[in-house]
This record gives sequence, C-alpha cells and structure tokens, in this order.
Amino acid sequence: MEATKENYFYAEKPVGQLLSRRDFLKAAGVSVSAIAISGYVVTDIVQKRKSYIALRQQGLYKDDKRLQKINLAGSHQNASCLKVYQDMGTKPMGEVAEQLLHTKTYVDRSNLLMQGAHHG
Amino acid sequence: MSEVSKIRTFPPSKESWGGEAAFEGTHRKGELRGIIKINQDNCVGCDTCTAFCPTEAIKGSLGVAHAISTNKCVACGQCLVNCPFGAIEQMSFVDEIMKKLDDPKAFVVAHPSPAVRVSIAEEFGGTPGDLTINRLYNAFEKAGFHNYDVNFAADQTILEEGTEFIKKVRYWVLGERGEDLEHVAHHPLPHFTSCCPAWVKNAETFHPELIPHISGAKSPIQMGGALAKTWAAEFVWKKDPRDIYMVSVTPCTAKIFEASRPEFNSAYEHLKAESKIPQETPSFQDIDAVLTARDAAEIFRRKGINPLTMSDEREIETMNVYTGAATIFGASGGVMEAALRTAYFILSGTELSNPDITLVRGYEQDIVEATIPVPLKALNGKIINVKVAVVNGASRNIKEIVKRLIDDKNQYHFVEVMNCPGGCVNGGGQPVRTMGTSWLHPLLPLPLRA
Repeated sequence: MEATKENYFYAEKPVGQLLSRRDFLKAAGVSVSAIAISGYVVTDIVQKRKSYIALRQQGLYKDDKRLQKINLAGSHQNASCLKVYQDMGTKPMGEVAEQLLHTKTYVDRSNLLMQGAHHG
Repeated sequence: MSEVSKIRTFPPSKESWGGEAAFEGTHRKGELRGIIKINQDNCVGCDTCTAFCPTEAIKGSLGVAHAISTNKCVACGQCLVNCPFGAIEQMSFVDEIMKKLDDPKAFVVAHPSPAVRVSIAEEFGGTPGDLTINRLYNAFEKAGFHNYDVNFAADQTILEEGTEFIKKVRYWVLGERGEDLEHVAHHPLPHFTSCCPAWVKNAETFHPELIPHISGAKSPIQMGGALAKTWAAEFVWKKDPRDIYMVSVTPCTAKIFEASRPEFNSAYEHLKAESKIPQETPSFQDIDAVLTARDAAEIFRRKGINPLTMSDEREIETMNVYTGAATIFGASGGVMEAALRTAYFILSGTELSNPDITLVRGYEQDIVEATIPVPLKALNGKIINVKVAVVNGASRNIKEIVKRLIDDKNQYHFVEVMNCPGGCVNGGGQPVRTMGTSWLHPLLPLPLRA
C-alpha cells in the first residue's frame, strides 16, 4: 500500500514561481472589481425596476378605481360572466364549467428531472 | 426614464415541441421548450441573470458565457428582462400570426392581459403606467384582430376559483360534509393560486407535494381560450370554432409554455363530445398562439400602427366587459384581493364597504401576510379569520413559504404566488427598460479602465 501511495505523489508548483506580489494584486484586484460590479449591477437594476413596477401598478389601480365608480368592483358584478353561465346552462363549478374552466392535470415533473440527472 | 430596448427573438423550430417520446426531461410531448435562450456570442458572463432566476436554471460562472438548463427553466423570462447586455432572446410567434392575419378564413382574436394595458405605451414613447384600453382595442382591430379582453376571463376565474375556495373553507374549516364537497376532500388548505404558469411549472418540478393544494381553476387566458371557441363562437360571434384563432397577448413568456400544455384543448374535447364539430377534426389548442407585449408592439410596428395615436372612444361590447377585480390581476396581490372581494360577498351576503384591500398588495415586501375577518351569513354572523399570504416573486420566496408550511400547515388558508416581483406588470414579456452605462461611471477610475 505504501508503495502505491508514493506512485501518486504529486507536488504543486510553489505559487511564488508563477505569481509575483504585483501579479497577485492585479489578479485579486480584477476579481474583486468583477464581483463588485455584478453586485452593483444587481442592486442598480432592482432600484430602477422598483420605480417602473410602481408606475405600472398605479396604472392598474387607476383602472380599478374607474370601474369601482361604475359599480364594477367585484367579479360577481360582471354581467357578461353571468351571461356565460346562463347561455351554457351551468354555474360556477357546474358540469360544463368543470369541463371548460378547470383542469385536473398537474404533472409531477420531479421524477423526470431526477432521471435526467442520473443519466447525465 | 431610460429608453426601451429591442429584444432579439427567434421563431420556434421543429425541435421546440419535442420528439415522439412521451417525456423528455421535464417536458411532455408537445410542450414547448427552449422558450428563453442565452445568446452565447453576446453573453459577457456578468452573472446578473443568476440572481433573478427562480429555479437556479442558469449554468456558468462569472466571466463565462452562461446557458439555461431546459429541464429546470420555467420560462418566466426574468433573466431576459434583467440582462444588462441584451444577450437573452425569446421565442416569438409574430411571423406565424402575421400570416394568419392575411388569411381571410381565419377569425383572429386578440386576448390582451391586464398588465399589457399599462406597459405597451412604453414601446411607443409613453411612460410606464400609461393606461391604454380603448386605444389598444382599436389598434388591434385596425391590425385585423377581433377583441376578447382577458380581464373578462379573469372575472370568470374569480367566480370559479372563489367558489372552489369557499367549498374548501366549508369542508376544511367549518367541517361541513356533503356530496358537493366530495372532491375538495382531496384538496386540503392552504389553497394556492394557479394563474401564474411559471409558478405552476416550478411547483410541478420542484415541489410536487404542493400539487393537491393548487387550485383546479385554470388561468384566465386558458378559461378565455376554452370559452372563445365554445360560448363566444356560438352565442356572440356566431362563427365556426375551427376558424377561430386565439392569440393571447401577455406580459409573460411562461404563457407561451402554458398554451402548449396538451390538456389545454378543452374546447375541442367539449365540442367533439357534444357533436358540434365532426368527430374526425384534428385536435386544436384553446390558445393557438401567444404574443408578449413586446411582440404585440412589433406587430403594430409592422402594420404601421401606433396605439397611442388611436381613438380613445369605443362602445362597451360584451367581450370587453370587466371589473376592477379583474384588472388588478396584473399586480402582485391582485388575484388575492379580487378573490376576497367576491368570497366576502358570497360568504357574508354583503359587499365590502371599501373594496380596496391594500393589506394584501405586494410591492416592497417579499411575502405579504394578512388576516381578513369575514362574517358568515349562514352562521348568523359568526366571524372567521381568513389568513392569507402573497408571494411577491419566486426567486427568493418559494423556499421560505415552503419552510413556513412545513413548520405549520395551518397558518394560511389562501396563498397567492406570482413568479415575478411586483406581479405580471414586471413579467418576462414586458417592454425592457434599457440599462444604459451610467452605472459604470463610479467604477471607471479603477484599474479596470485599462
């Protein structure tokens, strides 16, 4: 066993031969700034995005207010929806509604994912 | 405000629907895959996208061109809208739809989502939040579409999902039993929303234990597709359902995936069972094609239409009637608020004195929690406290909500999950604000400048 171990002995080149103090500072500086930039970019994106998300949301709440004023706050007040149930001879979660508006198919995809990983 | 960037697109290829195998990776036969793609030539390896991915689907370390794992990707497009270098591309059906618009036999219907009406203006020089409703309908009509507002279908979703939730409350909270409650016996609380397709695929792939909790009600777009080819075809448009070509116009790239799910051909199945179409008709999907907000703007540009200069006048038609509850679906917390408005009315017998349930709106917080007291008409005004949670963005919060449910399964009755922070208004199909280079300035004096 001892002999086998020796066959696999391997020494790394000392880092000093490859990288001077100056080189090390360069490499460290570049990696730190690269990490800092991506961190900064993500924060910057999140900051900017907050402003336009808020504006778009306000647009929708403005629409909501307009509809509340004409007595259309909740879905049960939508006359077109009630017409659908009447025309189709059904009600919420009725037989036809179940066929057209509900799904029974949610697929467990986790096993499939694992298969992919094992064979990869 | 910065400008809007042009996002590169590519048409679907033959392989996009998969081969003959029933399953390939996490996809079933016929399901679209590879909807979002990183262009290896343009990716600088800045690693920004990985911070926005909800499923850790992006491979590649800092400085190396990244790639998306098709099996893990839920097609939400958050990486795409947040890429500072415009290196991520989207599958697009613009060419196919342009051809359909020239086909005299096709009855092409535009089905626009709530969040598109507050964003499409940005593609034409407007500001975020500019509300375009009649202008958008008129623009679609000019481009050759008929209109069916998704908001109308969203109201339908609330009536279905609200009814389902009330049944679950009756069975699981109030302990009622009966024939009409039998099937909710297999669907315990908390009730999870099902309208966000990226969330549904995320749950199916990474949290299958939550599947029984997800609402059986389809998303508004899928309800709309099924109703367009059955109810609207017969009672409103008086058209052959086989000629109707449904185009959903969404703020979302995951809806492209959702529309290809093989079970979403309910109109076809229903019409065949009712013998309203010949038995040999080949199957058709409820939604034939999906346009993102950016794609819709591209169609308008190709047709020389600017929605912002269209008339704002229009009669209210049956297919465009909708309520405030439907329009707020596009904001985080909106589905919850809409469902509560109707559930409150049905359970208590009275309208909310103030329909604004601002407690559940998601903007700054990652996970919003609230308790809504609802008096029950059937129990002489006895009050139940409905405990709700709104998950505002999947990338940071799904793990947290799952952890909380393991700690205490009964702490929520109703959980809304939106993959994108802020809700659909910040979806992967929305106009992308250019990042510019101002963010580089503070860094320029560093040695990096060389």
